[in-house]
Formats: sequence, C-alpha cells, structure tokens
Amino acid sequence: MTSKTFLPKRGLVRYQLKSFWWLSALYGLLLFLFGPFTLLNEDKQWLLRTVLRRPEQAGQELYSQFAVLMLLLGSAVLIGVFVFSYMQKVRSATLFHAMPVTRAQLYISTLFSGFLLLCMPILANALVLLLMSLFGGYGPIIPPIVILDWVAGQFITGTAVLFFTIFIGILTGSSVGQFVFTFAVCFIPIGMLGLISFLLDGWLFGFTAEGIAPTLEFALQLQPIYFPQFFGAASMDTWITFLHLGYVFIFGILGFWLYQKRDVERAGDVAAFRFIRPVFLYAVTFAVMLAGTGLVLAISGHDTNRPNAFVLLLFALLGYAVAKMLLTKSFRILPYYKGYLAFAALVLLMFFAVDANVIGFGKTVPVASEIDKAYIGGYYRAYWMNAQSFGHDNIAVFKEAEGIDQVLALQEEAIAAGTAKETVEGEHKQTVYFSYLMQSGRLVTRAYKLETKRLYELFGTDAAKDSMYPYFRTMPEKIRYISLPDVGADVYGEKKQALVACVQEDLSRLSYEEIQGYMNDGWVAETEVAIADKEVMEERLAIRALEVHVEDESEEDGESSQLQTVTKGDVAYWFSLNHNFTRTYEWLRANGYMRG
Amino acid sequence: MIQIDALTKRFDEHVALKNVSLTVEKGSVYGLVGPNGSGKTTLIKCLCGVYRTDGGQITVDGEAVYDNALLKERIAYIPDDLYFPPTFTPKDMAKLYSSLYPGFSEERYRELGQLFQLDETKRIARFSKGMQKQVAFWILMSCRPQVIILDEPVDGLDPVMRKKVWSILLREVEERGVTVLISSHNLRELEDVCDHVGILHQGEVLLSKALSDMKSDTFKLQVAFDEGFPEVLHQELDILNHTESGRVHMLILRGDRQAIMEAIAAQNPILADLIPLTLEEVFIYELGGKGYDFKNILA
Repeated sequence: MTSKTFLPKRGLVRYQLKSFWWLSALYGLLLFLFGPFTLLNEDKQWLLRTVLRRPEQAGQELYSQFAVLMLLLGSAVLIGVFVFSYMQKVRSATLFHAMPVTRAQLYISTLFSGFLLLCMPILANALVLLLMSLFGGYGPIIPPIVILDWVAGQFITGTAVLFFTIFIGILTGSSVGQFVFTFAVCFIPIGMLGLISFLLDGWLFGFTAEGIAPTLEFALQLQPIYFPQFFGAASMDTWITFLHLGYVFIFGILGFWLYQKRDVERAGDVAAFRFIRPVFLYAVTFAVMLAGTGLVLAISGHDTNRPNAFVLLLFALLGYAVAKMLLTKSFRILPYYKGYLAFAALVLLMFFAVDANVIGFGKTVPVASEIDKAYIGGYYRAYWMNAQSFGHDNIAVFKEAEGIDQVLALQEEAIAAGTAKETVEGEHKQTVYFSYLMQSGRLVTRAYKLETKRLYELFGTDAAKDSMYPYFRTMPEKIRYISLPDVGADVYGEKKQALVACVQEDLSRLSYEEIQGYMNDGWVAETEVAIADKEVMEERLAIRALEVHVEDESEEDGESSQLQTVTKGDVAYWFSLNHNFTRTYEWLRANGYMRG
Repeated sequence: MIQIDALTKRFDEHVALKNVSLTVEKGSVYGLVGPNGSGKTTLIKCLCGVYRTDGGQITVDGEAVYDNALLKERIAYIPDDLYFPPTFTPKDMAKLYSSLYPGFSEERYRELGQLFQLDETKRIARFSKGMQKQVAFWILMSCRPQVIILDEPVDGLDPVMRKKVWSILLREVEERGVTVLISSHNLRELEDVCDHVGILHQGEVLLSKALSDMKSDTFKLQVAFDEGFPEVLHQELDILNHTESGRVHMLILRGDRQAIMEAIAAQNPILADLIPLTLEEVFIYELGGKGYDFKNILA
C-alpha cells in the first residue's frame, strides 16, 4: 500500500478535471487563437521567403509571440489557484481531509490535476501545429522538431509556474492572497531593492544611476515568473529553461513537505504558518513605507533627494496597519502598537545614521593620488571616461594632477555649499556630477548642486580646455584635415596648420562662456547676437562649424553622435564656431572661404 | 472502539480542548453535548483526522486516525456546515466517494435513493439546506462505514425525515454493529437514540457516562413541609438546585435514590415526589453548576 501513497487518486483528479475543465478549455481556445490561428492568417508566402532567406528564423513565430507567453503565465497561475482552492476554505478543506486519502495523495493529486489542465491545451494546439506543418505546407516555417521544442518549453515553464503558484498557496490560506503573492514574491523584493538603491543613491550621492543594476537584473532572471521575451529577447535562454525544470522539482518537493505541516484551520488566513506572519507584516510595512516615500519625493517638486522622516514613519504606519488588519481579520489593531513602535525606532535610527553620514559615504572626497581620471559635468555617463573629445557639452575629463586637484577642490566647495542654509539671490545652480575612475578600476560618482558660474570657471582653465579640445590644444598633429561643411571645402596641409593656430589662439583667449557663445549676463542665443550685428550675422550664416577629421584606427563604422561621426578609418569631430572666434573668422575671410 | 486520551488542541493562544479523554465503545451510540463554543466540532474534527492535535492521542480500533487513509475508509463524517463542489450532483458525489471508499455499495446507494427521493442528476447547490443534509447522509451511508460521526445530523430536516434518518442510523447499529458519535443540541432526540452521553464545557469533559447511569443518580424531587424547609437537608443532601413555589419546594439532587428518600422521610414531609430527569435537565443543571446557566430569563 505504501507504494500507492505517492500516486494521484483517480477520484480526486476526476473531481478537479470536472470542476475546472472550463479553465483549461478557455486556455486552449485562446492559445489556438493567438497561436495556430494567427499563423494561418499571416502571409504564408512571406513567411516561407523569410525562413528560406534566414533558416534560423524557423519557429520564431512560436517562440516570440507575446500573447502566447502571457497566456501561459496567466493560465498556469490561475489553474494553480483554482486546483488548490479547496484548501483555502474551511468547509472544503474539511471535506477533503476527512476523506480516506493521505495528505500526500491530496497534494500529488492536486499537482497532477493542475498539470493535466495546463498541458492538455498545449498538446491540442501542438497537434494542430503538427498537422499544419506536415500537411498544410508550413513545414519550413514550423518544422516538427521546432514544435516539439516549443511544447517541451511550454510544459517546463508552465509547470514551473504552476508548482510555484501551488507552493505559494500552501503558505497563504487565501486564494486571492495566493494569486497576488505569486507575483508579489517574484517582483516586489527586487523592486524594493531597486527602490532602496534609488532612494539611497539620490540621498547619498545626489543622483540615481540609470537603469537596473546588474545584480538585480540577474536576480530578476532567477524568478520563476520570468520570460526574457517580456524584455525583448527573441526566445528563452537554454539555462533559464533548465532553471525552470529545476523549479518544477524544487517547488514540487518543497510544497510536498510544507503541505504536510499546513493546518487545515488556517484556511482563510493571509498567513498559513506562524513564521510567515512577521515576515508578511514587516515586508508590507517596509514596502509601503518605501513606495510611499518614493512617490512623495517624486511628486513633491522640492529640489532635494533627502526623504522626510515624518513621511517615512507615516507610510510605515499605513503599511503596518493594513498588514495587521489582514492578519487579524479585524479593524481593532491598536493593541499591536508595540510592533510598529519597534519598527519606527529602527527606521529612525537608520535614518539619522544615514543623514548624519555616520560612515562618511555621502561626502567622501577621494584621495588625489588614487585617482586615474576625474570627470565633471552636467551629465552622468560612465562611458565619457573613455571619450577623446567633448567639445561644447558641459563636461570635461581630467587626467593630469592639476586638473584632478581642481575637480577635488570644487567637490569640497560643493559639499560645503550644500550645508549652507541661505541661498544667495541671483545665484544659479545646477546639478553637477563628479565622477572618479580610481586606479583600482572602481568608479566613484557623486552629484551636487553647484553654482554654474563656478563650473564655468573650472571649464575656463587650461587644464579643462586641454580636456575638452585635445586635438586643438594638445594633439594638433593628429588632425588630418578640417572640413567646412557649410561651404563644401576641405582644408589641408599648411592652411590646415594655420587654421588650427587661429582656433588655438581664440581658445586660449576666450572664457568658457565665450567659447560656448553665451553673453556675460546670462543665456543669450547666438542668433539674437547675430541679428543685432549684420556683419556678425553674415559670418554666422557663412560658416557655423568646423568638422575636424583626426587619425583613427577604427576598423569599422562606430556610433555617431551630435559631436562626432565614426566611419571606418576616420573620426570627425564637430566644432561649433560663434562670433567670439574673431581670429578664426578673420583667417577664413582672408583665405576666401567665407560667402558673400 | 474510539479512544481519546488527554487530547489537547490549540488555535494560536486559545486552547479549544484541554486534556479531553473519553471512550466510545464499539456498537454504541454516543451523544456529545455541550454549550456553544465548548469544543464539540473541534473534537469531532480531530477525531476524523481533519485537525492535527497538539497533545494526546486519538485511536479507532487501536490505530491513530491522523493521516491514516486506510482507517478513514471505515469512518464517515457528516459535518454541520456541509460543502459540496459547486457543479456536482449526487451522482457525481457518489462516483467520487465510490472511488475513495472501497466499501461503497451501489445497492445501498440505490436503496437509500428510493428512500430520500432526490434527483441524483440535479446540482446539489440547488437543493435546500435540508435536502443537502439528506444527500450527505445518502452518500455516506452508502459507503457502509464502521464508524459514523455526525455533527448536528438532523438540523434542517423536517420531522418525517428526522425519523427516517434516526431509523436508518439505528438500523446500521443494530445490523452491522456500527459505532456512532453524534453531536447535537437537540437533547430530546438524543435521549431516544444514545446510550452514552458526554458533556463538554470550555474544552473539558464535564462528565461522560451511560445515559442510564446519568439519570440514575440525579433526580428531581417535589417536596412540601409543614413548617418550612429543614435547613439540615442542605447539609445532608447534594442539592444542585432549589426553587420554591409557596410551600412546595422543587429540588434537583444528586446521590443515591434510597438515601435521599430516607433523608427526606426523616423530616416528615407532607409531599415527596421523586421524578427522573430528562437529558435536557441533566445538561442544564450540570452546566449550571459550572456557572453556565440562565438565571431569571423570565422575570
């Protein structure tokens, strides 16, 4: 008899199939509509031509269909919720546990029933696809081997999601909770980590990094409910399929063990095990606190990334209250105030520790001798560290000690200015990024509010000009020729050298604002100046920029931007001129390059 | 035989059953009674293997019940709060139970079907509460169990159906020696069918004995004296309750019948009438002694 304990009970399976066949049928119908039917309605000849041209595209219609993936996900979760629903109500749980079946049989029958409900529609549709492939002329588009591969993938991934859903159902006594937590457990912890990183980055560093951190991205891929196709991938990576197969066993076995310990009387409770309750309580409290604080910061319009302690505690209270109400199934939660107080005390302690910069994280100024390069600018892009030239883009990278020292001095000034309580009238501040590539390879980045005037003073130094205009300032020998796109001319040889010398003279003489074309009293458009002075306007219309072509070892076309174009063997930098480049325009006029 | 030893069951901080011990002999009909919230349903669910216990042991014919599928094939349980799968008909339920209970008898199923006269192809969810109870009884009796556990079995049934149900039950006891445990608030009907009774109060067994013994040591005495009630009787007798109506005194006493009559006779009563109590009265007065009573409901 022992050998039969781990086999599904026919009567129980029949009960599940009879009760939920409609869900399986609905899935099958929708799968047919989004799968074979959609394929039948596409231009078969075009698909055949595509596949003949690129054989690796065979089957892509199956793998990449977003709707098919969503259907699989949704159906697996719903089936998992429904087949386990008997355990989430006291009356039905009583009925089934009073029957002459062991818990093991109940669990295995549930899993098996869910598997059948999920896989029968997939098999039915696979049969249709097979018929289309073998007799409908779709052989090259969906070869039989591809269909089998697709079926296997659907089975594995669908079953992993199904078993995971049932596992979650064991932990909670509510069907609604089971549905919600199936997704929440996969995504909310990662979301919270991302949000913590986002809030702390902004608070400590003055800015938030772009995109999702690599560790979090990897953690996302480990979730049972993860489909790379959601993020634009063509198909499921093989290792993810194997991971899902592993999940089938992990959650199947873990669920089996946990099911034995699940009390029937927990049906209807949010947390079916005692150990889950504090986890749920404080996870919800924490999540609501973070989300609420982040929302307030985002919509407050205040020029700060520092969260408000009161807001933190208020949202924590909200989260705690809601979680407690769900756990106790009562509005009377006042007696449980101590749990909130303990949490609030911890939050306040951490808040003040961060705010007081106890570990000196936020205001760290690196040691100059440990720095390889120092970047400063109005944008944060790590790849600028390796760029050769920046031109007029409010950024500079310093490799020499003098420049690095200047950046460090400015950071210290920004830190000191950050703690000042009064704002000076007429002062214009902008967010400035200070980024240091250390000798060790580590990148340290901070952002501060800095007076624009001070930033431009730094950009006006020789070190900064050397950084921003290296080909004119330090490597003129690397300039192959200069194009004048406005007049369709190229300048070579001695003329090129003369032109370079004129630009060098102008660059040395001019301040940063003058190089950019700003007026001393603020932001004045170049065209406004040009309109006021006819001669200047003629100059502006004649030649607006130089295209500086430099020596390059590029083997193939690279990425083009506003400031440079890269074609194989050639790099061209765009250098804008303005009315302040008097020496340069003098030379252009004298050498006949100006129109009019 | 059902044996419950030192059974304890907790729901978080609340102790629903505290050291409950009782025995139900094979072939007997045991009535489990108690006020609301006393733990009857909890005890029954532990007995059927639905709840896991926190202490003690429950055995049926020497085997532990919990997670014992083979043993449960001989046990049928009809709960007070019934559940049927929403789309199921009596026929579907019969199919389900026949696949789980090896003792399921098609013949008995058809026989009982004739008796209950219910449409086996109609969804059970569409039946009335009483009819659903009949379906439960119909299906589970068809399983031919050796132990039948019933929680409020006749609640919702009309008088005719109640008689039928009790009749079927007693026939099972008589013909097959089935052991029955019934929990019910209808003490008058229990009195007719039970041979043993257990009273549960606040999770503890107040008493558990044969019905005949229960009635044989508790009495109602109607007595009257010329010169008022002799105080000495309060010391000599175990008086559970004493009410007066003029010169007539109504006493509820526990003790030996002969000793009681001798003590009364010694005080020269004008009137002395000893009446056996009903189960309902035993219940009320036993629990009244434990602080669960209704003083002066009718002012």
